[in-house]
Amino acid sequence: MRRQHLVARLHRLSLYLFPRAFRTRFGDEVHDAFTHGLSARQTRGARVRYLAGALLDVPRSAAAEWWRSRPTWQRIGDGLWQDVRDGRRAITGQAGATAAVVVTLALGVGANAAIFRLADAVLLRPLPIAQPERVVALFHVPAGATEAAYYGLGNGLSYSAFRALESGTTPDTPMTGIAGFIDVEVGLHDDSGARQLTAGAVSGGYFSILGLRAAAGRLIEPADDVRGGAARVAVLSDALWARDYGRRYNAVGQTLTLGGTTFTIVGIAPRGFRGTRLSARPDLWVPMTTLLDLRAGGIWNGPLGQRMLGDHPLGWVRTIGRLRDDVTPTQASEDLRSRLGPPQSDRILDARPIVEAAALGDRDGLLRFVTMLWIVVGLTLLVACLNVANLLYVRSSGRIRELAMRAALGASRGRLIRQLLVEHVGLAALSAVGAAGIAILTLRLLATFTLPGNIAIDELGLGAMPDVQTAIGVAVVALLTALAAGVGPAVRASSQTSASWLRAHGTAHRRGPRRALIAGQVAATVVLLVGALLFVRSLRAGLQTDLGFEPNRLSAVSVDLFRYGYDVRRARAYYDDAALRGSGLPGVQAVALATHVPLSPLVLLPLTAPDGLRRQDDMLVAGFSSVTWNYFDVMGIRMLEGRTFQATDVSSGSLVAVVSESAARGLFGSAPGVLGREIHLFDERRLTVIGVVADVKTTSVRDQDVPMVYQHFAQETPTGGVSLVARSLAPAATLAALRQTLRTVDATVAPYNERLVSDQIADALSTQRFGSVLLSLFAVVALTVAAVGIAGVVAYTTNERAMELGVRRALGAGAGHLVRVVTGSAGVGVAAGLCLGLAAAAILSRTLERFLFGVATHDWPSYLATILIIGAAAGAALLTPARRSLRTDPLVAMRHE
Amino acid sequence: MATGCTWRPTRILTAPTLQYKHYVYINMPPARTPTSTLPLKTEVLQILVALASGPRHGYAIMQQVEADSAGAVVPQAGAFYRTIRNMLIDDLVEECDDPGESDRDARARYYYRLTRHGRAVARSEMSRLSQVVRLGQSRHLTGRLKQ
Repeated sequence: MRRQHLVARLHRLSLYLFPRAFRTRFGDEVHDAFTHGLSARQTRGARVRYLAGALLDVPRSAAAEWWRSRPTWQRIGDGLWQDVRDGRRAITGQAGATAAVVVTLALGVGANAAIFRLADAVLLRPLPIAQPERVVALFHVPAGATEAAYYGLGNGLSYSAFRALESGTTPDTPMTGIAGFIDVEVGLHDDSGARQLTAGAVSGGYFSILGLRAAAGRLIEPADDVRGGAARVAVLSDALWARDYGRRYNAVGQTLTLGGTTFTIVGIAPRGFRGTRLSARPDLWVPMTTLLDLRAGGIWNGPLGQRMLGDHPLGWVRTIGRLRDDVTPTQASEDLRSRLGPPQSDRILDARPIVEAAALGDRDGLLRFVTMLWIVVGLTLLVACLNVANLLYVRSSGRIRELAMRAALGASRGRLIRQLLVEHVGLAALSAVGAAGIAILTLRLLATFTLPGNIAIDELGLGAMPDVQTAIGVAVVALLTALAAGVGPAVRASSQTSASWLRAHGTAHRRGPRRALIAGQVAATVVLLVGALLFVRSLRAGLQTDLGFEPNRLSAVSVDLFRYGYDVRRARAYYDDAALRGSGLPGVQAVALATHVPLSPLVLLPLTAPDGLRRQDDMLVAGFSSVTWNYFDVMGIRMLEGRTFQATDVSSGSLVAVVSESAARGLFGSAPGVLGREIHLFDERRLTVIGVVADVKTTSVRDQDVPMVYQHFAQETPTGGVSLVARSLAPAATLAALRQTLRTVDATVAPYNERLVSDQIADALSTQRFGSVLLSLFAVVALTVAAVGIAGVVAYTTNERAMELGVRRALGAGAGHLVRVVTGSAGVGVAAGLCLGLAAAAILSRTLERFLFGVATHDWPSYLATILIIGAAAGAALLTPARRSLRTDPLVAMRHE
Repeated sequence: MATGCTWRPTRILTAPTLQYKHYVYINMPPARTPTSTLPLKTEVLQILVALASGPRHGYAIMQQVEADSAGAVVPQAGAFYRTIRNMLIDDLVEECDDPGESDRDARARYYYRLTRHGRAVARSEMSRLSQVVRLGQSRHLTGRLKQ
């Protein structure tokens, strides 16, 4: 009997396997039938058989019942469609709130997507080459050299040393192959005239070491790169192929004229490959042995060029190598160095990963800059999310009545949450569409800027559209943001049962979360504002900086005669004619010629002063420019000592130079007393110093006194590009007239790089401008969003507490008191956010240090301005809705409730 | 309507069983005829036959089925009540109050009886089966039917 009792209880327990609906209706009956049946079995065997049957029956029936009660697609569809309709009604029913949420989310997510695309292109996968981790860039520098030494011309191998190493490298050596390259500016001549392009002169193994395969035709091979029998072949980049040939395959086999020499196009480089350096992105590649045919100017023309491709010790060949799988970069570079003879082996060969070297000298700056961008857009997204959360919170609070009604009519809590989720997914979908638009706009905006290290974003090939990954990312982020912002309020709203709503509808104030959301928004906005103001002030400081010359009213235009088959005699005649005609133009005060005009890229070359401080092993790296006698006058550069060039210098036979103050200090220790002393150039020419001029900002306004050596234009006619620079009353008009004049001197020569020098100040400040524009933009967005959010919260609070306010008013409270009641909570949030934000800004602004110019990161006017702006915006946001609420009649408010 | 019997929904319209009603409505065939659900499942047919003599409670039906098959069929409670539930939904049987004659058990029990539709379905099934049996007999597929 006891055993039967136990079996019955076990059976009763086992009924819990059934779904509840079945159990509550049939459970007792099933159990009764079972116990009756069991007691009806007389024999032990019958009872065992009966129990065995029951043992199978309960789980089988329960499983069948569960299967039967599964939600059918029809039922899910029914509910979902209902939710979608409800969601649409909720979204369109509150168009204002919906628009605020969608715009906010779209701005935050879209901007983030664009910045991600940029970071991806610059930092994460800058080089589309095979196994980039096995490829290194080799820098031939003195041991312990600073990062600066890795820049410029002297950090590579000399041509003869490179060729020696190249021929000694086999697949069995630690470095399975090395290749050299140099990027030079060349003139491309076609029917439409002349254009400046960047050409990569590469050794034969270059493309195979990078593991690249041609998109069409073939790439440059070792057989092309043979001294004496060099093939004049060119490989186009995909960008040039697309631009000039519309990606037509018959481009292969056609010819083009570079620097007066005809090259045959043999192939197209793979899409996305633009060399291994981010700051110089070749449009095409030619074999290194054809380098002199390009007539790239500077050291590449004339007898010096011949020596450069011979035994000249200058290390101009930038070298890359692929490591064997089992060696470290250090082992491989040591092996190479051991094969270099002295004096080449005195320096180290530093092997850096190619990806790191791609942005060498800039990588750290790039990393910081992109990090800064990310912080900026991240903060904007944070403000956006907080605001969306706030809006949704307020919105869902307003819907508690509706939700409570649904709950009373039998909707389950899950069903209510699902409905709210569907609504938020709808919001997310709208936001994602908006975000894609914002991302496209942001990418267009980004394309107009330059990253630190002179990397034009336009040339990174980001494209006008976000790629698929970014698009998916946008969708996911928008969804997660909307859900994250929506789930909390959804759960909270749905947990308000009808009972609690009936008990206290609308009088339960939970101000804590809202206050925290406001504080978060304000803090993030403060950080953005401080950053924006720092950049704006930095830009201002940059624009007002003393350049060492007078940039206004200067216009400049360049020509490169040697690309048009000129010789030195004809070139001299051209320059004389051009200068004469130019200075005769109306409004022009004077015209000077120079190989370098400030605020443009500069060739840095080493020089020594044997009777000064600099000996053979300690050369000064200085900028060089050949200028005419009146150059310093035209530019407004102060003469500190000595004299400028004269016509008599030419006949005197000895070469003369004017040096800048910092060059004089670097060479001889002090500026006074350097007149008449001798300096030696890297190519062993000797120059006598005849004058000292003030330092100028040579390449950008951020330069710190780059030493300059000015040579006499008439003494040694430059064989590369030359700029005509004119001082005039109307520089823009002069620029056009100057171009016209040069055409009349020789119509076949195409002038290039026409510019107003004052415009170049802004170009040189591109990073500051970029930072200013971007941060200001985001700061304004964040400020607007935060202000709207604060105003929304106050307006909501006012409505929510209308009855209380009415009572207070009726009891004689003044307007000031009521405003304090309404805005008090939000005001505390604003104040807390302001303090928090100022502290965070003080910390975060340190990441900006490198990009700021003439402004400290703890620049107090920026912080003060931020406090004032936040104060004004928050004041307006707090008071506008609060004041409006005061106009409501207390009686009306109370009756409404 | 016989005394003591109420229309089905009023009896089962309690919160947990709400979905049965819901289910009935959305799955109700537009034109319900006695032949539209034929052939019947064996256990359904057995229950219909067992209920032919009048209302019974669940366990009594199970006993009757067992007796009708001379012990060959032993219904298991879980499966049996699932069938009953399906027959309720299909309107073959309905619940009714204790007819007050057959059972002296003090506990309140659900009694089941054939609906008008259930009886019609059972008749249709019987005639269908007898037709099959007659066909089989005429083709000497079976021995003579026992009387």
